Parts: sequence; C-alpha cells; structure tokens
Amino acid sequence: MRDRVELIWNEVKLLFKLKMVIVLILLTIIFMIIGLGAVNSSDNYALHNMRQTSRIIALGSARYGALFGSVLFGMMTIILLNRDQRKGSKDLIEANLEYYQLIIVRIISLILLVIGTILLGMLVVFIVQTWIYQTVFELRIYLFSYGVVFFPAILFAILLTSGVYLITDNSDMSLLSLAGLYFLSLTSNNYLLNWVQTHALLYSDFASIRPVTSFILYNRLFWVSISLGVLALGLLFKRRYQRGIYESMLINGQKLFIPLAVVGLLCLALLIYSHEPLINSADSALNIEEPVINERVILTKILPDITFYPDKGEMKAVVNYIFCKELAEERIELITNTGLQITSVKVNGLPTGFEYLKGTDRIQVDLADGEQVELEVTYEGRIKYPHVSTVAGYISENSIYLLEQSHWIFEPLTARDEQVEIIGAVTLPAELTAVPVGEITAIKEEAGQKTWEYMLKTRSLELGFFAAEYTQKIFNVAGIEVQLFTSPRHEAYLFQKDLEHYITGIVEYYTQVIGEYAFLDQPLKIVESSLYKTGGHSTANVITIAEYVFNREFTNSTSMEEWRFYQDIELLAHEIAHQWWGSGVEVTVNTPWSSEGLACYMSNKYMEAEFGEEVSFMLSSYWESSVRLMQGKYYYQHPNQVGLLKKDMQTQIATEKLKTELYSIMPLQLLKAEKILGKEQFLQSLARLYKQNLFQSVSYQEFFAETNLTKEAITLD
Amino acid sequence: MTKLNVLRYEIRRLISTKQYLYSLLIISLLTYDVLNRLLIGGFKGTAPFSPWSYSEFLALVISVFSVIVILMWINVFSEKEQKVRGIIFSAPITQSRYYLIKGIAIGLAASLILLVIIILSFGYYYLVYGFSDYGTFIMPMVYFICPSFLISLGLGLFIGKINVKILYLLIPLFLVIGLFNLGLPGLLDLTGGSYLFDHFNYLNLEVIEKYTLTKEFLCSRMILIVLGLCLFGIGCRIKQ
Ligand SMILES: [Zn+2]
Repeated sequence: MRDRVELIWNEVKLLFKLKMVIVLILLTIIFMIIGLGAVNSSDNYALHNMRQTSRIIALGSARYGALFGSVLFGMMTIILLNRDQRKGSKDLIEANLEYYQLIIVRIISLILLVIGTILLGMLVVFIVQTWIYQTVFELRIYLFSYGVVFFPAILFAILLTSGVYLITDNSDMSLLSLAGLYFLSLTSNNYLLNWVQTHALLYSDFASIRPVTSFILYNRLFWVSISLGVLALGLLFKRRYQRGIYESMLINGQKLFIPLAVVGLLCLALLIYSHEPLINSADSALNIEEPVINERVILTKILPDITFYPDKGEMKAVVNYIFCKELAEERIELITNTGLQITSVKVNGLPTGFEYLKGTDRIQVDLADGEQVELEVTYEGRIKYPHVSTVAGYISENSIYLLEQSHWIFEPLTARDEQVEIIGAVTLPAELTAVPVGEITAIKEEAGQKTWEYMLKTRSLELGFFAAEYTQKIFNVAGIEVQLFTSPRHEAYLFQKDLEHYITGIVEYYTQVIGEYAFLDQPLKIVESSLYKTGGHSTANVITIAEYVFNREFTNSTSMEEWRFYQDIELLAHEIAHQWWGSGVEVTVNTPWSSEGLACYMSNKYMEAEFGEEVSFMLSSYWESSVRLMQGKYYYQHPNQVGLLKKDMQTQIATEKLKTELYSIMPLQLLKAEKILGKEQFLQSLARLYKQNLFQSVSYQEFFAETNLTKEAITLD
Repeated sequence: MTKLNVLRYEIRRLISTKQYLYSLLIISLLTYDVLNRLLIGGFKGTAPFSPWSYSEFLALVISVFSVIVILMWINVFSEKEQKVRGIIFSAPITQSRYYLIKGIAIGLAASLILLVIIILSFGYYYLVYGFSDYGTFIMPMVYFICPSFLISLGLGLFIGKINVKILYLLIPLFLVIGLFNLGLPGLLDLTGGSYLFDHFNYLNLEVIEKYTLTKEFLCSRMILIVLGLCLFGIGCRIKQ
C-alpha cells in the first residue's frame, strides 16, 4: 500500500515537471475566470444584468472550466498513456508492476492533478470575485459547482479516453471518440447526455438550488457508471505483449472481476437511463391533443389538504372533489402528476379502483350513481417535470413553486360550476411564507409547522401555490390591497428603483382605463419566483414574476440596460393586466384571440402612459419583427411538410406559431383597431366589454360586436 | 521515387490506417446526426436545405474535421514517424519539400473525408426532401469549409514545426470554438459558427432569402484563407 502511495506521489511530481501540464493548468483556470461572466452572454437576454452574486456566477465558471478542461485533460490522458506504451516495459521492470496497475496509477495521479488544478483555480476565482466583482464568495456554492459539475466532467473525460484508448490501442481513435462524445454533450437536448457542461445555466439567487441539482446529480450518476464501465472494458481489451485483441481479452478475462465490472457497470448505466425518475415526457403540458371532458358531470367544490416536506422535496395530499350529475354512474378522467403516487381513491367514502390511461398522465375513475358524489384522492411524492427546462412546479428546502400546470392538485376533466369553491389548507415549516390563491382565512402554528387555510371561488380552476422565505409589503392602490412578496436578499434594488411606484402606477392605470378590479374583497398578490421558470405568470389573484426583475445591477447605464429595465416593467404590467383580462374576465381562446393579446396590448398602453410613446413604440416593434420572422419560416410557409417531422419537433413548431399569434399578432391587431377607432374610443369599448362580462367570459365575436369592427378590418397587411 | 510516386505512397499510407477509417465512420455518423437531429427543423426557421442550414451543418461538422487534420499532423511529427522518415526517402530530399509533400498528402486525404461528408449530405437531402439544387451549397462550402480547412492545415504544420506538444492544444481550440458559442469575433471564430448564431437574429427576410453575408465576415474568411496558406508556406520552410 505504502509503495503505491509513493508511486502515485512520484507520478504527480513527474507530471508537474512537464511544461505542458503547467500550460494546461493555466488555460483551465483562465476559462474558469472567463466563465464568471457567462450569464451576460447567455441566449436569454432577460438574464443579463443580474446582480452578480456567487449563486449567479459560480455555475458559469464551473461550466466553462468543464468545457475546456474536459478536452484538455482527455488529451493529456492520451499523451501520457501513449508515452507509457513506449516506455512502458522499462517502467514496469523498475516498478515491478503489472501494466494495468501502472495505468491505474497514471489515472489516479492525473485525477489528483485535476483536483489540484480546481483548488488552485478556486483560489484565483476567489481573488477575482472579491477584488473585481466585489461580492461575497459563497464557498458552499462553489464547492458544489466545482465538485459536481466541473470535476466530474474532467473525470469522465479521463476515464472515457483511457478506456477507449485501451480498447482501440490507438490515440487518434480515442481522441476522436472523445470529440464525438463532446459533440453529443454540447448539442443534445437530453439532460442525461450533457456530461460535460450539464443542462443547468445558473442557480436562483434566493431559492434552493435543488430544482437544478437533482438533474445534475442524476446525470453524474449515469456517467460515473458509463465511464467506469468503459474503463473496465478497456482493461478487458488491453493488449498483451505481442498478442491480438481476442487473445488479450481471454487472458485479461481470467481476472474475473474485470468482466464482471464491465457487465455490472454497463447494465447499471442502462438501468439508470431507462428508469429516469425526474421527467415525464408524456406530461399533459406537452400534449397537443385536447383532452376529452365529461360534460355530464359538474365539479362544484374542491377541498385540498396538502402537507409539504420541503427538506425531502415531497408533498402529501388528501383532496376531496364534490360533483353534481344525473343519477347514472359516470366515468371521469383526472390529470395527475406521475411523480405523485396515488395511495387511495374513494368514492362516497368507499375505496374504488382507478386506471392510468396508457402513455398519459391521466387516470380514469368511475363515479357511483347518485346526484351528488364525493371523490377523495390521496397521493404523495415528488413533482415530475414535463421537460428539464420546462418547470411547472417544484418543492425544495426554502422555496415551493407550483403552477396549476404541474397538477399538484389533480385536475378533473369535467364541466365546472359557474364558481367552483375551493376551501383548502397547506401545512409547511413555519419559516416559510405561504402564498396560496384566494384569501387566507386562518393560520395555525403547531410544533414548527404552520397550516394556512384559504378560500377561493374560481371559474378557471387556477390553483397555484408559492412559498419561500419572503418579506411581505402591503399597500393600498385604488381600493385594492396589494401584497408584495419578495426575497429579503433583493430589498436594496426594490428600494433603489422604487418598483412599488410602478406597481401602483400600473394598477391605477388599469383601474382608470378598464374598470374596477374584480376581486376587491381579495388581496392582489405579487410574488417573486425563482429563475428556474423565467418570465411571469398569473394564477387567480396571484402573480409571479421571475427574480431577475427584482435583482438587477445596472452599472453603466447604457441604452441596453435602460431597455432591460423597461422590459422588466412591461413584464410586471403584462402579468397585472391578466388580473383584468384572464382572471376578472375570462377570455375564450379563439386564436389569435386570447387573454395574452389583451395583456400585451394593455401593458403597452401603460408603458406609453408612464414612459412615453417612443418607449411603447419600440416595445411594440418587437411584435412586428417576431411576426415577420415567423412568416419567413420555412415550416410556416410549407405547413404540409410539418407532418414529416418527429412529434416533438411538430409540437415545437406548432407552439412557436401559436405563441406568435397570441403574443404578437393579436396585440398588433388591437393596435390597428385602436388606430381605426381612435385611442380613447377604443379603450372605452374595451372598458365596456370588461364591465359587461365581469366574472364571465368574453369571445372574439363579442369583441367585434362591441367595437363595431370586423375580422377583416383589423387583419394585418 | 519520383515526387508523384512519393505523394501517392504517402496518401495510400494515410488512408489505409485504422484511424482514417474510424475518422470516416465518426464523421459520417456526425453528418447524419447533425442533419437528422439538429437541422431537421431548419436553422433558425429556414428550410432544412437552405444555404443557411447548410452553413450551420458545415460549421458544426468542420470543427471535428479540423481535429482530424490536426491529428494527421500530430502523427507526422510523432517520434515514430520521424524515425521512419529516413528510411522512405532513399534519395536525399530537402526538408521543405518533404513537408510540402506531407502537407499535400494530408490535404488530399482530408479532402476525401470532406467529399464523403458532402456526398452523404447531398444524398440525405435528396432522399428526405427530394432536394437536388446543390448549386446553392457552393457558396456555403467556400465560406465555411475553406477557411477552417486551410487554417488547420497551415497552423498544424506551422505549430508542429515549432513544438508538437502545442499542436495538441489546437484540438480543444477547434472543438470549443466550433461547438460552443463563445461569441467570438471575426478571426477567432474559426468555423464561423458564432457568426451564424449571433448575427442571424438581426437579419431581415430579404437577406435571409438571398444568403447574404456581411462584409466583415467575408473579410475575416479571406484573411483566414490567406493566413492558412501563408502559415503553410512558412511552415514548410521553418528549420526544425
Ligand atoms: Zn400572459
């Protein structure tokens, strides 16, 4: 044992004598530093200009380090092993070792070199961050990023290249294989294949990092087994002196643990891949086909009682649904989240069976005869995502974010009463501030757990839930109680830019132009959400806005930065507009007609009122360019070709088209209508439309009837 | 041996190795993967067989192709090869002529790989889309193959002459620059991938339809081509 430690130590010392190794270390560290600024060169412009805390910049550094380091160290491995082969016999005699032991020694010393490089790099990054970025260096975040993203990437590169080198006995082939795997990692949409840089771009500044790290860890698990499996395969095929591949294998295979390791590790990898636990690609969110609704059954009431276990990322639910129907028995479907295991289903108190519809996240349940039926579903577990970058809900240590689309409360596909009554309760650790929909009716505390009871009447069944360590600000605008929930970490910016002023302005503007807020008896809740879901969302009387809006750092007041700020305010205005169009008045979707068009248009009018026509014009010109961009697209011009594509590609193209229609074409049409009627008159007719249809829905036809316009009149040229 | 015979011998020696066959295999798989997975929806909304999509295809594939060229140079400068060198050339031959022949051999062997890439892509387009207007791909080929091909050929020789170990560093360089959008400007954007990615957003429809590239980009491609040739010329003459 001591001999081996000494041997490894000698190897490490030998490595440091190579000039190439010094260059390699320097280059890797340079990339670690360049990576600190990665956020500001990401494709999503909304992420630029965030205040650069450790949590925002650490992952970029690890990713860039991994991107460059993996190829560099993979190459170094080949150079070293290649050298071994030439000088191998000499060393073997000197060290009195078997060849494969020498390989292991070389690999271990290389890994030690990698660890040294990362530690040295971390020191340099620490200096750069404290002196240049002038923010606190959060060791924990860096240790995780370097330990789980950066280091494994290089480790895999070393193991994979040496494995392939031993199999092929050829350095070119090994390097090309590395290049191929590298290519796969950089271009794949499947997070399991992103072995170099991983799928994650950055962590939230205030919420837990778990929503991304669980994917990273699973990815690492997968590649540990693959790369070790390939190395074992290499040891199996490693050439014996003057013997061919087959003969060598027979000799190597006599050490039984080698073939056993090959089979075991590769089977394990296969198992890990096929039993991926975090994603459900059959999620309803990704399904274009419309679900079938049983119109003979009417949902009248939901009583959800949910307990969260943030530390474990889990929840437990007992949900009661009350339905009205004719006397006869009926079969209904519920959309579930497949990460949540159903423990029992009861109809009128009696246990009953249920069945998953194949390849979907829906279950079928039979409701017994009788005019009123109570269905109780009990389930528990973790929320699954539809796709690694489509976050509809997560539960983590200090942040819970559950949109209705995550189906954390299973959604029955039935008709609904005019106003479905929701009487719910959530229980979670006392340090978290819960923000349920509707209004809170009671808060009870017991043994460090708080239970929040809430109530809501809703047409659209929008049941989101949000919680984190928030600070709450309450202020009154035009008779509305506005509750603002933000992270205490972002208070300075909130104050500096006086975001409260803009929120007040937005609410006042809509009240004045469109009409009184529909839910004056309820508070309007504005919640800061993590950047795992960018943009904003409006659920019943709750609005969520991604954290970057509350966490900017504008350093050199360029027009780009000014623009970023306008877009932030526009996002706020858009989501608040949904309280009028979407929550107050439901807008019946008839593409391009939907609440999105009205929300885009209204927020643009607010921007005009607050910042002037120049700003609102520039913001609306974005709609025009996105329409032109869509019209130029090949698959838009040749819809008959779309059918030839794979299903996910078809969905992507259809979604892009739909988005442009809802978010760009419709607002442009509304602008055109405004031009025809005159701004004042057009806004007045919108106000009438709002008043007449409050708590109901409004269709495209009703819009035309009210404005005396036709489809043709507002169609874009 | 006459010069032509030496060249023929060199090429045959290059393309009969298992790493050459493996290169062909990897690059063919890559070609299919890029066309069938990454560009099936077309590059940024253009047709999958538009010159833009073809440019993106070339920019991606060429980064791995450049690595293959560098690997060929690494073999030329490896110790083993240097020992063999004396044996092949019975007649005395000047050093610069030796490397000129080596360079041409690598260039031709690599061109053969390129030919396979192009034939495969043409075949793919014909079979999947019934598309055969290959003339529109000529300009993308000029702009996205020549610069990085000549740079890898010239830089490989030039750096190999100085120090073969630095040659290894070109491998990550080509891979990272080619496959990861670092937003590199002009000359550093060896494959043109960053250009395609960043500047496409600002183009209007007319430019997109006509496949017009900016002057700066064309200039940078010209410079890279000239630079590649110069490096090759100088590389042949450098004394080891
Ligand atoms: Zn919206």
